[in-house]
Amino acid sequence: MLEALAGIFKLHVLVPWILAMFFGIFVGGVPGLTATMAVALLVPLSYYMSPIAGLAMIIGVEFTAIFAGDIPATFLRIPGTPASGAAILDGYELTKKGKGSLALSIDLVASALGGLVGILILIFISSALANFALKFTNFEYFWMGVFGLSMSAIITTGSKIKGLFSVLLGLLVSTVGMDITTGYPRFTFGITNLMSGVNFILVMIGLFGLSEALKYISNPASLKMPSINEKISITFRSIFGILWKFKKTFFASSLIGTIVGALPGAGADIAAWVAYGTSKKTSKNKESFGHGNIEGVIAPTSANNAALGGTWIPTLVFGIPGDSITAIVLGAMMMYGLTPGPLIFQQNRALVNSIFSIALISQLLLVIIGFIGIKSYSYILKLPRNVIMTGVIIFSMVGSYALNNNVFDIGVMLFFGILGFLFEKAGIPLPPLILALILGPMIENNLRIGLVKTSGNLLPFFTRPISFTLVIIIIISFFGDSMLKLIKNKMRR
Amino acid sequence: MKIKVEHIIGFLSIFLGIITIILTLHFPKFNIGKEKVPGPSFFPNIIAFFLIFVGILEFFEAKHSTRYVFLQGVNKKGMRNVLIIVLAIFLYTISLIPLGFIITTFLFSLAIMYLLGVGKIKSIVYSFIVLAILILIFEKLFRIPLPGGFLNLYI
Repeated sequence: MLEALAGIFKLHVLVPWILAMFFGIFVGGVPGLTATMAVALLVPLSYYMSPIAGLAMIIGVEFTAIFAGDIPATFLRIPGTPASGAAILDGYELTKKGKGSLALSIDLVASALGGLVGILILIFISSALANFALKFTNFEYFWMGVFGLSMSAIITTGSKIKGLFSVLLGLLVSTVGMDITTGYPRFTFGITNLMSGVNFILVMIGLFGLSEALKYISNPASLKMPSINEKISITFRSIFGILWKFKKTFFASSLIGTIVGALPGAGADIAAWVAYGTSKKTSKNKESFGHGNIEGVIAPTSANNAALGGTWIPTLVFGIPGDSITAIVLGAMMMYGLTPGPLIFQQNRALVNSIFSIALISQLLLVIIGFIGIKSYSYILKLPRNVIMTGVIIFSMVGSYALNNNVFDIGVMLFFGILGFLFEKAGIPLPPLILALILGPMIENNLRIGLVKTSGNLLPFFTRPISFTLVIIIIISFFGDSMLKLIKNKMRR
Repeated sequence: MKIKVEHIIGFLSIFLGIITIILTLHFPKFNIGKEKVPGPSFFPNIIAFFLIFVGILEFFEAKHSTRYVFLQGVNKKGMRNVLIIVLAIFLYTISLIPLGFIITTFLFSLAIMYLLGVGKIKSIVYSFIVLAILILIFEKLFRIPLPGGFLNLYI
């Protein structure tokens, strides 16, 4: 390990690594530009460098971009990356109370520490965790999806029926496009642009970004005020104090993040929602979730960065990408002449140690670079709200266009922006729609493939050990509270 | 009977459920050999069933609700502003390709800032800054080709 550390503290590694981390802050902070895009843009540059320098750039940009996605999510209610969807809920509420920079500072430290937990798990139990993840078949993935969806009941504030309506709408939108099994176009109405489905980044930008701008515009009196009215005077001592107070939430969320990240196909976005739902379920202050609860900031932000460590587990151990970013990493590693898989631990131990060291040190650098990012962003937000909201609308439009260089995408974003505005005014919660849209394909595909495998028999969905355990967890997450209350009442009598 | 928000949501939910079922009637059946397996309509039909169910539940929820206004807290001026913005985005979308990114974005930014009460001079200055930032980020840094429009013929 010491050898690995000596290998990475060289100028030709450090300079591109730190520059890439600043680049990550910038990309993650601009709605419409994703962490995957940032990694993809850096890979061609990395071919001119040593594999260690290239990997340092990729790892650095990955962690900072995922954190930076939380900056516009907290300040403006626009998630910079899909992994920041859950961070909006309490982060933005804290901004409205004048505590946006406090929320982001906690978010930053929780992200770095969450990432640290994810990496430590990667170092110590990667092969055991990867073996466990490989036991997951369609049946287990189906239940994992349903478990994720059960979080929507928990994250819903207000009417649960309206929350369910939002979930169903999200699931319905997830079915738009070419059917994965038969190739049949569903609900596309002859529109070619809908063949590949509805991109959930557009939905997120519309539902959260544009709808928020419309909300302010519909209330002209609020437009002359500055967007944020606070001075950043945060000490790291106070942040660590807060994190220590909520250490259970932090560790549980980081663990959830790593496990979800280790499941191929389930990345940082799903991890953040599951961690948010779980922490709300187990918190003593459930009611304040969604209204600016610090735990609601710690849970998703520590989980999404921990998930990044998790996604490297199947990538390094089996050569199976954990998410879209590690899929690019896998390609890049092959270009460097490295073959990820069980043998890499024996044949290229030095490189594996270097990857671990880079990932660990990146967490420390994240705190410094992330803090600079928060400060720079907050200067922009000192402008009056009418200027900021114009910027939000324009960035939402251009960011949507930039995803596929397609004006149709602006139309999709506009549609969901209007929908989000109407939903919020009617008291229909938006987060369940996003959660369902993300999880819909996972649930549908695994349910259908599972049924094909069993010739329509539902029994194996319940009888396999991991499936059975997941079903029990889902039942507890839905009915645990009511059952506990019932038992307590009976005991009192 | 006065119409409540829940009545509207309930109606929408049932309507969407029924429309989904009607649309899936044309979806092909999926067989492997002689065996019938869940086809493209399988999952949407499950969702449709639940949508109808939720719609009915919303009608029950309406009994205990006192919400009669769908767009709460929005006055006439606010609604007018929202409609203008929506229309402006729509116009932006259709004119982006023919007019090009620079002209369309500058005009859009100028119009929206003016509508939202930013002063004339400030609107022009901010619009130039926003445009410069966007070109710098998207076109120069990320090499994302932004539409040149008719200006492409001259530049």
